[in-house]
Amino acid sequence: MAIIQVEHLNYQYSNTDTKAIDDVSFEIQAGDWVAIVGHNGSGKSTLAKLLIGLMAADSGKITIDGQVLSPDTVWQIREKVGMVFQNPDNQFVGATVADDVAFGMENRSIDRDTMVTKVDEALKQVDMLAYKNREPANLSGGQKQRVALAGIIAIAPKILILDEATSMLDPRGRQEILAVIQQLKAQLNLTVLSITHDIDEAANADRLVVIDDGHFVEEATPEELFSHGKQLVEMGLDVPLPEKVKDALQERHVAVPQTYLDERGLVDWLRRSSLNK
Amino acid sequence: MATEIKFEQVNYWYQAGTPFAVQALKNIDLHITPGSFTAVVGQTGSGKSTMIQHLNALLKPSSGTVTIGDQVITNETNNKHLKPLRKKVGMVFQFPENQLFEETVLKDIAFGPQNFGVSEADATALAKRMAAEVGLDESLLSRSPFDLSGGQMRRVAIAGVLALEPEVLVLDEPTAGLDPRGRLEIMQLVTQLRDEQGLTIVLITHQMDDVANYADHVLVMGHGELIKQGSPREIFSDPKWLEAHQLGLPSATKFAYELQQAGFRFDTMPLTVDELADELAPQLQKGANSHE
Repeated sequence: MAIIQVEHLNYQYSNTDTKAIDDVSFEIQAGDWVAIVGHNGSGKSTLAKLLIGLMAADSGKITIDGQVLSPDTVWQIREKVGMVFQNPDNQFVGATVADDVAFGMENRSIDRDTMVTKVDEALKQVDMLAYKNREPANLSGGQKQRVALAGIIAIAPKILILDEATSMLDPRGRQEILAVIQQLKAQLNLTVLSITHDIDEAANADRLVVIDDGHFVEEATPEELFSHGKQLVEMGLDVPLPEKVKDALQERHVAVPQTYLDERGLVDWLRRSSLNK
Repeated sequence: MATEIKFEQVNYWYQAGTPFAVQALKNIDLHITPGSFTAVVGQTGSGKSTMIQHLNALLKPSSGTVTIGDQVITNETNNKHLKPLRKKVGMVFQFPENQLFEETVLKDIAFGPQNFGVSEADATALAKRMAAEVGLDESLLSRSPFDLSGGQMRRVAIAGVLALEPEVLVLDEPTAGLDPRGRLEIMQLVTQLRDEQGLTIVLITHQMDDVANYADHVLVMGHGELIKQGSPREIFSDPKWLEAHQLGLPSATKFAYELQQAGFRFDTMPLTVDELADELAPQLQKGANSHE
């Protein structure tokens, strides 16, 4: 069942000549991880803002979990959606990590006792319970994003939207966060929509939706899309290492497979082609 | 004259002399040679940012000396004499687009030199030249800097620093938050400034691929100390040490170590994809194909 359905969506910023979102349609099935990719300025973030009703579309229809997004339903819909943004520093409101996690629940008038238990549970899930009484400002980037995730777990949404949530992290922090999200997705049967230009984050998705200049370009699995090689840069993604290695080998007159290989696949292929047996 | 930077036994305490004193730099000795490309790596909180703020005396050492060109900075140095240094060593901080403020791109770039006493006409001419230098199209100069894309805004900020005509350019994670194309463009620009203008580059980065591809010297910071320095090849030759200090390897190097487990041989561990392919190609069947 489609949990997010977008039909013929259009949006134009008031001071511009071109549409930021131009007749975009797609569907996301419940429990899927879908990544929306595109270069800076392609319209990805505009799309995310439209999806949670931070801005109203000029025309088109958004249906989330069976409800059509409108001024009447926007608050009910937002209860089903949790969002993590790019810069963790911009989303902290609490004086301590625990206060911050509780903030979303306060807005939903959950009673205090439930809140106290839920904060601990949520922090435990992201492995940040030890930092409960610390000041969010003194955490590393990866830790901050984990606290932001805990705030979302506490309100148990059906949909998690990640708006370039790992782009400010170092590779290690990024892997940590992606692992936590994978785990949460499985536990809570979350639908994940990630807006990203990170190849590792995109590789975690079941499907990728490519947006360029506000247009829907294509929908593909990571394997299908990654086989585009150098064109990926135009889509705002980096070229995966195996594709770079294949290109470099081809330049050195080695015949390489045309299909996409992940790192494991490339190691296997190299081993089969090795002369050192 | 090319500017050389030398640290001798530099210590720095935040809130020195109070019960909250924290030592952020410990006994740092280092040397940045003119025309070099130095990468500074280390975890968040390792002292990287504190260290680079000593490069143009935004911070003065609590003890020890920093020598920048012919000027020696100690704890006693009078702030009055530091202005010429700020011109000689240009700083591009994290998210420099947050510092843009003027009505137009051109005015923003020209602001710095005017602040150092350059006439408006000269500063404008200089700003035009620097905008071209960083690859900003002339049509953008009359626009508000806030209408530009993230990558373009960052170019405006870099042009503003270049307009001071520095000899050393210090950049704190200049590609953070940009998409891969934007990242590549900024790194190409930085390399070009070094190669064509002879600028000395100091780059703080988390991207080990950038260290491997662009730097010729690496400083590794950890807990306020300079825990290792050397060429990228020296730094990346000890994966266990890097792992212990929570630092990564360039992606090509990491992959090469995996291939080593699978029976491939490397005379020197590759740092880049090209080096990797150079070592691999002779070990492969030329007609090798997966569709047997």
